[in-house]
This record gives sequence, C-alpha cells and structure tokens, in this order.
Amino acid sequence: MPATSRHALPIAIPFVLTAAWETIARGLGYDSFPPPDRVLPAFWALLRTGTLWTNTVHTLAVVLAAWVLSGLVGVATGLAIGLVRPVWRMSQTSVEFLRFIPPVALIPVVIIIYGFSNTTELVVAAYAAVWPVILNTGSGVAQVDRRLLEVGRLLRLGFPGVVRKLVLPSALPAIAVGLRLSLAISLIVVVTTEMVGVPDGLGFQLVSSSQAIRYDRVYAYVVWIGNLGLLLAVLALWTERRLMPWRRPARAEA
Amino acid sequence: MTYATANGRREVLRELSFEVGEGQFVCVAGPSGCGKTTLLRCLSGLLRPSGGEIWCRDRKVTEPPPDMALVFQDYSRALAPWRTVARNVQLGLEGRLGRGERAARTERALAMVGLAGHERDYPSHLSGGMQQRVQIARAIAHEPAVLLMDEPFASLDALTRFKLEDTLLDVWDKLRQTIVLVTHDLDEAIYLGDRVIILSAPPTRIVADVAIDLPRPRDQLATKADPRFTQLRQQLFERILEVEPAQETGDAGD
Amino acid sequence: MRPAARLGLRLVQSLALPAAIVVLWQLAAGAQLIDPVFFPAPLDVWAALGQLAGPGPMRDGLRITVESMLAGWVLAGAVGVVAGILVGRSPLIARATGPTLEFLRATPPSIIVPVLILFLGTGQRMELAVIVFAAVWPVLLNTVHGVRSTDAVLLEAAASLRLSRLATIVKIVLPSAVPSIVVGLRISLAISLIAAVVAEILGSSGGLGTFIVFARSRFQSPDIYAALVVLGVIGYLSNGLLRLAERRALRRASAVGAIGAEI
Repeated sequence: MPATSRHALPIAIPFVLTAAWETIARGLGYDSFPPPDRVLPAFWALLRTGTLWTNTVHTLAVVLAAWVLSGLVGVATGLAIGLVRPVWRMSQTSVEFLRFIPPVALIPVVIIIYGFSNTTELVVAAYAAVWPVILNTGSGVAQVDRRLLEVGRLLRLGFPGVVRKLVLPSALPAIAVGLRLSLAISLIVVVTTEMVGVPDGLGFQLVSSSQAIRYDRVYAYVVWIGNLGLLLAVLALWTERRLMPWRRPARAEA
Repeated sequence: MTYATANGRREVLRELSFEVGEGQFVCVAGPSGCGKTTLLRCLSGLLRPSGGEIWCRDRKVTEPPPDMALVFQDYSRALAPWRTVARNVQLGLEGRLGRGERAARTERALAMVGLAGHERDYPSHLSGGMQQRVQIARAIAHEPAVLLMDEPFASLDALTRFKLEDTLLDVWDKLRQTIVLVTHDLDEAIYLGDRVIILSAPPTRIVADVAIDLPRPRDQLATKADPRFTQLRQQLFERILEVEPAQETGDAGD
Repeated sequence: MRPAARLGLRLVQSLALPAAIVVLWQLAAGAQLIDPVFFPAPLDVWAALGQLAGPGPMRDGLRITVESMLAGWVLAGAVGVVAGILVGRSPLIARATGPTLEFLRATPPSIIVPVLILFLGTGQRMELAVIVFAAVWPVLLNTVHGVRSTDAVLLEAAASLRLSRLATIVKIVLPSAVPSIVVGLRISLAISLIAAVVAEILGSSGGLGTFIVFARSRFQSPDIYAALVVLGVIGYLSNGLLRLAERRALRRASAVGAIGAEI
C-alpha cells in the first residue's frame, strides 16, 4: 500500500461516515435526524454563548474530582488487599457483590441522600470508578516478584521502603490500567447522573435539548461528549506511556 | 576502622560446618539439589536455619546484615525494571548516603564492572551479561565485607560467562572482600576460588575442602591449560564420583 | 485440613464482614439512629425482597432485566467476535477503522439513549441497542487480541496444508482465540447488566431500572434497596458462572497467553 493511503485511510473513514450521515439525513428529512450542516451551526451557537464551555468545565471538574478520589481510595484499598492476604479473603465476596451493582441504579438512592447536587455526581462516579483501581492495584501488588522482595530485605529497605520503592512501582503498570479504566468510567457515570437528575453539566444539557425538541443540539452534545471521551482516553494512554518509559509499547487491553 | 582479630564465619547446615577467612574467595560446588542455594540463603540471613548458627564477623546472622551483599542467578528478576542502571545500583543507598557520595560510589561500581556510560539505560534494554554486571555493581556499591553469589553466571552463554568471571576477579583483586560463590560448574569453581568446597547430594555434607594453589592473576587460557588445573579438576571430580554413584539427579531448581 | 472444612472456613471468613455490617445496620435502624428513608432497615429490605415470591412489578422487572441483559449480551458477543476476527486478521481493516472504533468506544453509552429513543422508541429494542453498543467492546478487543496471538507456526502449518481462508479461521484462529474471547464475554456480561439498567432508568423501558425510578418517586426506599440487592446478586452470579467457564477454557488451552486486563 502506498504511504499516503496508509495514513489517509483512518482519517478518511470518519469523513466518509459524516458524508453518509449528511446524505441519508437529507434524503430522509426527519426532524429527529438532522444532517451535520444543521448540527454544526447549533454547535457553534452553543460554543459562542458559552453554554457549552461552562457545562464542559462543570462536567470535567466533577469527572476529575471523582477520578482523583477513586484513585486515592482505590490504590490504598488495593494495597491493603494485595499486601495482607486475610484482608482479601475477608473482603472478596463483598467486593465481588458490590462492584456488580450497576452504578446508575444507585443514582436514585444517592439523590435521596444528597439531593440534586454535585456531591451526588461525585459519590456515584467515585463509587463506580473505584473498583477497577482496587482490583488492578490488588492483583498488581500481589504479583510483585518475590525475588525483588528478597532484594528489598537484603538491602534492608524496611517495610515502608519496600512498599514505596519496590511494591508500588512494580504494580504501577497494573495501577495505570485501573486508573485509565476508572477515568473512562468517571466520565460515563458523571454524564449519566446529570442525565438522570442532577440539573447541571453536559448530561443535563443533552436531556434538556431532547425535551425541548432541539435535536440539532442533541447531536451536537452527543458528538462533543464522545470527543471528550476520546480525548481523555488518549491523554490517559499518552501519560501512561510517558510515565513508564521502561515498558515496550504494544500491549493488549480490555 | 580495622578488625584486628581474624574475623571469619562458621556455618552449620545439617552436618555441615566451615569457616571462611577474611578476604578469601571460596567456591561451593555440588550436584543439583544438594542445597547450595539453601545454604547461601541461610548465610545471607534471608532464611533462618532450623538448627545451627551462622556467624559473620563476630555477629550472629539472624537477618540480612549490613556488610553483606547477595547476587542472584536470575538477574532479570532481581533488578527493578522501572529503574535505570544507575538508580538500580543506588536502590539500597538512598536515604543512607548523601547525594554526592551516592553518585561517586555508583560511578565507581559501574566503572569497575565495565558499565560506564550505561547509567541511564533501563535493564530491559541490556543483554543478560550486562544485567548481571548491574547486579554485581549494586552489590559492590555497598562496599560489603562479604559478597555472596548464587550461581551468578549459570544463565549466561559460555563466552559471556568467561568475561564476567574475569570481571569478578578484577573486582575482587581491587576490593578484596570475602566472596562465597555457589556454582555447579567445577571448572568455574577451580578457576575463581582460593578454595573449593564440594558438597554431596542430600543428606548434605562436605566431601572435599581443597585449597586451590593456582597462581594469580588467573587467565582463561593459561590457567586452564596449567597441568595443576587439570590435576585439581581430576582430584575433585574423583571425590565427587566416590561419594555419588553414577546417578542422574533431576534438577528441581534448588 | 479437609477441603470441605477449608471451604467452610473461607465461606465464614468472606461472609463475616458483610454479616457484621448488616447486623450493625439493623441495630442502628432499630435504635432510630439513621433515617429509614436514606438507609432502610435490612429487615424491611428483606420484606421488600419477599415480593419476588409472587407475581408483581418486581418480578416482572427482574424478568425483563435478565432477558434484555442476556439477549443484548448474545448480540454483542456475536457482533464483537465477527468484528474482532475481521479487525484482527486484516491489517487494512484494523488501520482504517481504528480511530472510528476508538471514538465509538469512548462515547458514554448513556448519551446515545435520547437518540436511540428517537428511532426505536422506549421499548426493549432500544434497550437491546444500548446494551450492544456498550457491551460489544470487551468482546471485540479481546477477540482481536486472541486472533493476533495465534501461534505463527500453526498458521504456517495451516498454509502448508493449503487450508482455505475460512477453514483457517474456523479451525486454527478461532480455537486459539477462545480463552481470550471468553474473558471478553465475561466482562461484557457485567457491562450488559449495567447498560440494561441505564436504558431502563433513562428510557423507562421496564425492568428493575424502571422499578427503581418508580420506587423512588414514591419514596419506597426498601424497594430500591431490594432491587439493588437483586441486581448485585445477578451480577455476582453471572460473573461467577462465566469465571468457571473461563477457567475451563484456559485449562483446555495448553499455552496460556497474556489475557486482556481485568474488568
């Protein structure tokens, strides 16, 4: 394959899809399926009035807060679970049960407790985002090479030294996977919480646009939120690679 | 500080007892599964013997002592993959020595094992022989009075092994620390040591304890061509065969 | 210790903590230390769970949620495996669709609910579409990974036996990708449950999600908590079952390759 088409193809596909969207939407002429040339002006309008900006800032701020919270709690809990066998044995069933409760189902309960507030968003998102961090940290810590722990003893690093210098860095790749999943989950849950009831942020704007029958805006928000998700994912992956230069690239993930 | 008395150590494992004089290079050889590695783990303080005692420089060994270092066979597991070569060498020095002293020792140790210029490389980017050099550098950076080595060259190809043997002899020539090196390779034991101790298959006991009177400095070609080398080799080999009837022992990786 | 005794001990260990929490909770509720609207007493929740014994909205909800979850999971699995084989086997397709797939994967599934409602209404078809959109990714990615880690020697052997392209996929590629695919399917089932509830809460398509929304509007906290417990049990059991299947698949695959990350 010539070099130009190697790079052109992946970029071309989204353009082709957009063109197809334009053609089909025009052909159908449904109100509920506006073509891109009506969605784009709606997007510009939202951008110019500042609505898009303030709501994006709100949503992202909550996402980041929930992510940091779940990261701190998750790494600490994962360390305890991975380092102390009895802790894992005692909490395994509870963890396996709690992490499968769909976080969206918690929204109504948390709304009863905290009302339609930022705290609700934060609590639900942090709850949902903490599990991958806990589990990945736990398994990463439990899989630290025993030889390396012996090296730590021989060099008399002491328990805090071993944890800080050997256990945590060893588990870092696993922790990073957990944190990356947790960031994606934070965004999903924050937006969903805003859609279900908390009257703020991008999720709320999306639902209100739908209720106001402003479908051009609905599509603008959907595409915008999708891009935010992609941006966060790319940023997380990039940071991960920068943080761990000793690791070769090319690994699979789920 | 000087130690006026003839410091040595005594080791008892089952019916096993020997002393190593200060600055002596002792090689312990024996068949697979005879407990060479267990012996070394006891000497290093990683393993508490069920009976008997280990003394190092007038102190009983109950945990890894500060003036002792251990080099493992499996270098890739004993190095921290996220630390550069220099930072691996400094692993046990951090917080104990000032920055300048740390850097100076690292530089000296790396120069001594022939790794000057590789400070910033990650272990995964080095060959096996070079990784093992890093481990040796880490050990000598602590300026230990006693250096324990567990089959340090067993995982390397023949040519690399010869080069590392000579590097080790150079290091020992300069620092004159006490070395106890465990190997299954009789030639290596004779080539390196002042003294070779041969262990039997379990129940382990000392079959031979022979002073090696080959002249130093030793040379891969000249020393091994020395008739005395062949003579020693034959003598030790016969001792092994005497106690051990021809019998294949499966290597369980002691 | 006998295996049965050890199993018993582990069971006691793992249930001690949740049991203690439930008992403390009940005591606190009995002493009126906590608001029953926020945290209803475990015994009241237990009573609410009794609704499952007879016909009623809760049992209907359970049926709809489980049905949708399973149907959506099967659809997502089928789509994911087929797409995964295509992407995994063809570098051209992989490169062409890469950025588009990344974009779709990063899109929160909940935000397409309003759009899907426009096309499919609020019924179960919409719910299935949401589940497929959310749950297809783990299967797809793990299939790609499994397909790509097929032993190169095996592929050369297939080529030397002049197996057709289809036969190579069916006889060589798919079997060696099975352990990886099973991991994807397990993760995907958990996501199917979550996506089902998302659709049910946002789109009122029935099921336990909708049951929770109704219960909240009437402030029947025990009903909400009972539904949460049921959802947790569904997730716990389905994950446990698939983990068993996963162990089997792994045991059968002699060489265990690196499997996709946990969760």
